[in-house]
Amino acid sequence: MRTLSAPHPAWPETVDLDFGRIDADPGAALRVVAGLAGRAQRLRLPEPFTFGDSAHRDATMVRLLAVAAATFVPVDWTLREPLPDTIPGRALCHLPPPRNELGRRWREAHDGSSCTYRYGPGFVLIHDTRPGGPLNRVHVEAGWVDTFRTVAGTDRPPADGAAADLLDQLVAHQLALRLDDRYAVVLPYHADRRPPPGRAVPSVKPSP
Amino acid sequence: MPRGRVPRTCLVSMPWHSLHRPSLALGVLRAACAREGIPVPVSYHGSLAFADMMLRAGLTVGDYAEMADTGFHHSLGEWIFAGSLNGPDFGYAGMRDLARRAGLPFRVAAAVRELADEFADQAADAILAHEPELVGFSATFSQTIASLAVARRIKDRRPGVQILVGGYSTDGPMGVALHREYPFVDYVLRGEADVTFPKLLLALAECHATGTRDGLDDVPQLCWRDDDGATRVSPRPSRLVSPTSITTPDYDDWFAAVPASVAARVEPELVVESSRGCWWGAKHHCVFCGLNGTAMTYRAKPAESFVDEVLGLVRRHRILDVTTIDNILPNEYYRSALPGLAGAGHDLRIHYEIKANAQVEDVAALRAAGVWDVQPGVESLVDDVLHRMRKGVRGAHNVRMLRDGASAGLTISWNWLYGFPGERVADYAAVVAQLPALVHLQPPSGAARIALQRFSPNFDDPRQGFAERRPAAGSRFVHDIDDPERLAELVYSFDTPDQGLTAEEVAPLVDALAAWTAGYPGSALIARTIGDVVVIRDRRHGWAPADHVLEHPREIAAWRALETGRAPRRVLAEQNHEWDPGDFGHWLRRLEEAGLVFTDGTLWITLATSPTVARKTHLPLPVLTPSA
Repeated sequence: MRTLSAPHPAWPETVDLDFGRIDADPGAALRVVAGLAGRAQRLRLPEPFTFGDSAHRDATMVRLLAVAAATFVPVDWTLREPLPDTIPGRALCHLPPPRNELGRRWREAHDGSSCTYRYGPGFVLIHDTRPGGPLNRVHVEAGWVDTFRTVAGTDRPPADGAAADLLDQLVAHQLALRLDDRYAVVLPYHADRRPPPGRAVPSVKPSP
Repeated sequence: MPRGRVPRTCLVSMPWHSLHRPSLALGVLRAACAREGIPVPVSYHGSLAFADMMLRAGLTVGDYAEMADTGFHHSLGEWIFAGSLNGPDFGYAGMRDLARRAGLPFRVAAAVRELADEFADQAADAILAHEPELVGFSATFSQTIASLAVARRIKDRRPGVQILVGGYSTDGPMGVALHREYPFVDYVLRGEADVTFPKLLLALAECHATGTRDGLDDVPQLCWRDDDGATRVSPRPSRLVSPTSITTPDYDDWFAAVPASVAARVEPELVVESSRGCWWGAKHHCVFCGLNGTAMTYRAKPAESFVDEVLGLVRRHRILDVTTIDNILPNEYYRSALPGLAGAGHDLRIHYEIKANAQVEDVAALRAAGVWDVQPGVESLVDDVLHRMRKGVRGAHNVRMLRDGASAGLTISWNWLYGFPGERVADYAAVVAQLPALVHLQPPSGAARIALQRFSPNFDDPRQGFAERRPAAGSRFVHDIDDPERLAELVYSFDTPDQGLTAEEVAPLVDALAAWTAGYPGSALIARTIGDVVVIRDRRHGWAPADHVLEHPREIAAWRALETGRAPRRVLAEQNHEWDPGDFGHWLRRLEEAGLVFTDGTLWITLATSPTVARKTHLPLPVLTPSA
């Protein structure tokens, strides 16, 4: 047995993703994040990020943070500018918060399991206990499950039809963000696993 | 069918039933009535009503949860209603002193007790508003005194209403004693009531028609009074309820009540049962366990029908969190029900109690099915003590459970129990010295001296070392019964002189567990195969950060062998051409010094978790638009 005081070169403790790489292939970037799950590895975004410069980038960033949240991968990242008025702080506070001073309120409000969805037989259960709203259990009914799956699986808002109606309802419940005419994201992430026990939160919320 | 009319019945579940779960007892009894084609009783969910009252009085859901979770200890939950049953000051000073000595949350309990009288009055009003002819109380742990307080009020106001009490707190002699001590209780129905409760309702209908008490003797395990007021106790049934006769619970009324109640603020769960009794206890009853009372014989529902039952309830109530109340998961379910639940493809979160000897493939099956919370009855890591408990597992097996559960991301609930006659300080010392190496695994919630409980071998067999006992101190502050022998027949928990380690001797263990709990968050010890080497990453609290690399094939083969827990000589025998015994001993000592293995004295087992155990899930990733 050989003992190394530094991380084994094939198993870095931190994996960097720069925005050039993310922009080039957002899907591949999400797979990188998901691949870090359970390996005691961190994701680092070396450059500060600005919400509001590009709806496409905003959508990608929200999705990337959501995959990290769903897989419990720690993320080191910073904000360059405060959140724009078009993105309320409550909207993103369930996602891994930025580490710099601009993310202080985000960190204070952060609860990684406060906005999630899970699939059941013939329904989707959305759990939303982000601060500033009522404790919320929203059921997406049987006829809408496939539509929800479609809306949650893309960053493009549907042009019309049932999917557009569902997106409008989700936006009205602060469960989706319409970033511009071309981009929209569903905010809760798919919680198909439990937080690692050290991070588990109690199921009983203190009453107000 | 009987000639008379089945009595209008209200079933009642009082505090301290959990706020986020319906009562399985009420659900099963309602369904049993429906199955027999007799009117389904209405329900009164006292837990919801009392929690609502607590909130209006400025207390919190957390206060209710604290009383429900900890109130069983020292009868604190029962004591809250003892004044409503026995008079305003009853047991107050005694419990205050006991709480001070035992560190119980007396201030909150006393504030809650202020509400108990008003609540008991309101509960009686609400139940009587249903115009019942029979009121049945389900009394499990910490529900007895609240039930009796309300029952007495009902009887005072409408003497014609008949009072029935059942549930685990009436099992065995406790039910006979309760019937004797509380004359306003007309009937006590002991044991499993799936069959006997509908039978009682039909017998009462017959009694009503004939004006006699004929037929009550035919209701097994029923305590009732004859025309002279003498207590009669019907014999036990010839056999326990068969698994196919255990009905799917009917929770419609509870879920209908939730939206308007405080329970709407908590995450509701379904509660189901896939088995009764304990397959391990039927062979080797763990010496401290009193949970199965008079029904140890193990009976499991057919896997397919259980899967259908769970998915049916999930679909009906649109709840994905499920607690099973089994004492132990049916062994065959690893290959039947669990794959069935996994195959349904839903995001379930299920709690199960399991035996700690689960293999790695069993753990993978649990995770795939959505069994994220397990209670494996770990109890200790000291081999000798586990043997004294009759747990049927070794210390290394328990460590394997903690390790593989951590690999799969399961939450593992366990307590460290001590206080077994004959246990030795030296055995504890050998294990306590190794606990810093386990800091990345889930620590126990604490260390506790075993309690003496009815139905356990420690209670039933004086040779186990607990011959001297008396009703637990708290029971004197909830029941107005001075005679210790009468009280002893009524209660479940007993005080007994300490056995095994003294408080001073157990201090090193308590300190080590505190350090374990403090160091656990953020600690990791993970093994990964990278190419043709195994890398063990150590990021544990209290250990220098290191990556240990196993490179030689014989090292890797020996590591793999030790993953399941082996005696070193067996590993050597399996690889007899690869290792010089001296080299192997040296290698093992290096693993030990680096805190990479645990030994119970015979078996050695590796401690690193492995992400491969959790390799089930592929997160469906959203499709994102590439940059323009």
